[in-house]
Amino acid sequence: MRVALLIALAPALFAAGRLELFHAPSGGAETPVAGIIDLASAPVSDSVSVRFRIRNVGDGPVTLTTFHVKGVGFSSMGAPSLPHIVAAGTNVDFTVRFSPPDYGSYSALLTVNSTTYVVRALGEAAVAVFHDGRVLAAGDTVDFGRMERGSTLKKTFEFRNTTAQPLGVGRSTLTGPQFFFPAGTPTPYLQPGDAVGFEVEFRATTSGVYKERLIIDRREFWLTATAFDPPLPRPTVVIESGAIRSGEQGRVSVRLAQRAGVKAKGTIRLEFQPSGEAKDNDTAMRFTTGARSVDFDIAEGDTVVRFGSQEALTFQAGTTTGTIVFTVEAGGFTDRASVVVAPEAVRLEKSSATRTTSSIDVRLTGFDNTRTLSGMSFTFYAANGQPLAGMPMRVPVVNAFSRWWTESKLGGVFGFHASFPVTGDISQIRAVEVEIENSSGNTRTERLTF
Amino acid sequence: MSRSIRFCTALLLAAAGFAQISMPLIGYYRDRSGALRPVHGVAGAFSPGDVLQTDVLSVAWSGSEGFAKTGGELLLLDESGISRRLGAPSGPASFGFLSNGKAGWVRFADGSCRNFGADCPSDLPSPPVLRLRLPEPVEGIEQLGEGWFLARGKEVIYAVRSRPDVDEAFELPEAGQ
Repeated sequence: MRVALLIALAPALFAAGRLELFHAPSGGAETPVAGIIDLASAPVSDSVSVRFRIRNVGDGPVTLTTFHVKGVGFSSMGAPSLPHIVAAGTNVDFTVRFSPPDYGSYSALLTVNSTTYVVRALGEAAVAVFHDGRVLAAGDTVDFGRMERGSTLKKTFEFRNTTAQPLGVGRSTLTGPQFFFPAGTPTPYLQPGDAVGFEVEFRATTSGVYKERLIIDRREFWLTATAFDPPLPRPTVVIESGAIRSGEQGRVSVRLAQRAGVKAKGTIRLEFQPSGEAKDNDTAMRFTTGARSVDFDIAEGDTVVRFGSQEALTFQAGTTTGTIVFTVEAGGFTDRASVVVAPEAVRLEKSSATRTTSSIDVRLTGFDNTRTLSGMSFTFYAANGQPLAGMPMRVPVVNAFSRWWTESKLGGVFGFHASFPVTGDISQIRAVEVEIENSSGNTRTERLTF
Repeated sequence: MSRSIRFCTALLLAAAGFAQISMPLIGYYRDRSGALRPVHGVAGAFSPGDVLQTDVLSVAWSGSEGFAKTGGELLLLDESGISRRLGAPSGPASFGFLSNGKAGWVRFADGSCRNFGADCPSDLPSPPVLRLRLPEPVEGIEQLGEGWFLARGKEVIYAVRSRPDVDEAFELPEAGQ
């Protein structure tokens, strides 16, 4: 029984892990590494980084107890703190960075537990590129920041010869027309310890995010910048008409605080706040475009919003007393202006009276912008110009008008038609005058003859 | 005489036999799309109504009667809209009214005439001349209603009220959206 148990446990007792080193480029396939590892060369003051992988290819766990990279110009990043147990089939990744302090050949020892590898690299003689007091490594990014398009951003760089021999810059190039050297292409020749500055400017006439390369010999650095549209100047609603009465058409425009430097879209709305208890059912109160809201485009250079070929919109004040409010929205701004449509006595646009053989018809067209019509009286006149006895004759129309205001969609507008049957010699009646009352006063027609 | 007055007064009803309130009709017109529409309201507060007929070529309204002409029909108009449809030669037409606003005559594009209350004149009447300057040149002037003309600009249709002493122009709004 004891023998059988030992036999059963044997596979676990004798399972062993084994660590192997691989080159593991980001996004590429890992490849095994032998005793000597050659890294790519790096310019002086620049660096090159190579990613490695320690994989446990055995069938048991292994404890990583020793890991280091020792050598001038070499360093490692990403290694775990020790000791670290690497389970079977798993791996540990780290990066070796080579940053040569001067030109020449360099080597280091990379030790993984009991195995040591030789790492070799070459430091190339090259001028260091500095920005903001920091040396740039190939692939680094310098962000120029944000600016309003059309303006300029400038950054200062510096070439430094940190080596012990004279060095030159053979080629300085900028990709993309938005970045350029304002003082010409810098290709200096520097003695050991010498430094010289150069500038790169960014200018873009269209908004966007820009990313281009600064190429110094074989090294490339990224330059980024963002150009944004200038803000839209604040729009202001201007009621060109000043005071306005019911039944009038007015003009409203939208002016900009300064010349627009950007295209934009906007909207102007007409809203109505009726006075008293009147409803906002005045379909005539709108822009002559047919709506109470009009979208518009602002073009670069505009100082006033254009509606088609016009610099103002025409609106109808309708026939209801209250306040007309214009609201413009554009570029994140909102502006309002309002105009009060004052209450007034009933206004008649057309009045007529006709006589038939048996009746007299009176027709009135007009509006009551208060919708408070409280009485209508008729005074009929005889041929001698004197009113008939019993005049004026009041006609009960208040309820009919109240219903009309409720049903109508034309604000205070009405067309009134009354027919007065007459028996007897109707030719003796020659004229009529009509008087209408509302909360703002009385209105009287001229003498309507027939 | 005073007796006569008292007599009339006694017979005049104390109240109107009937009274009604309605939307005042200014007239009919052809909108930018060529559709026939009524326009209600008062001066400066116009309210175009619903389309009565599409593809209209000519329109005129006297204040009580009117015509509209489509490609192949002559439409007779009254205050409630289209009252009759008559076959007609193709093309636009010119219209005439009697002094009381009743239909007078129609002259078609082929030169033929249809008489209603009057014969076609041998020469077409001269178009009205506006006594004001509009913001833009107009392509034509039509009779919108009694005392109203319609002046058709490139961007705006103008409603012109003609009074004995002065003409007054308004913008006729587009139909509601």
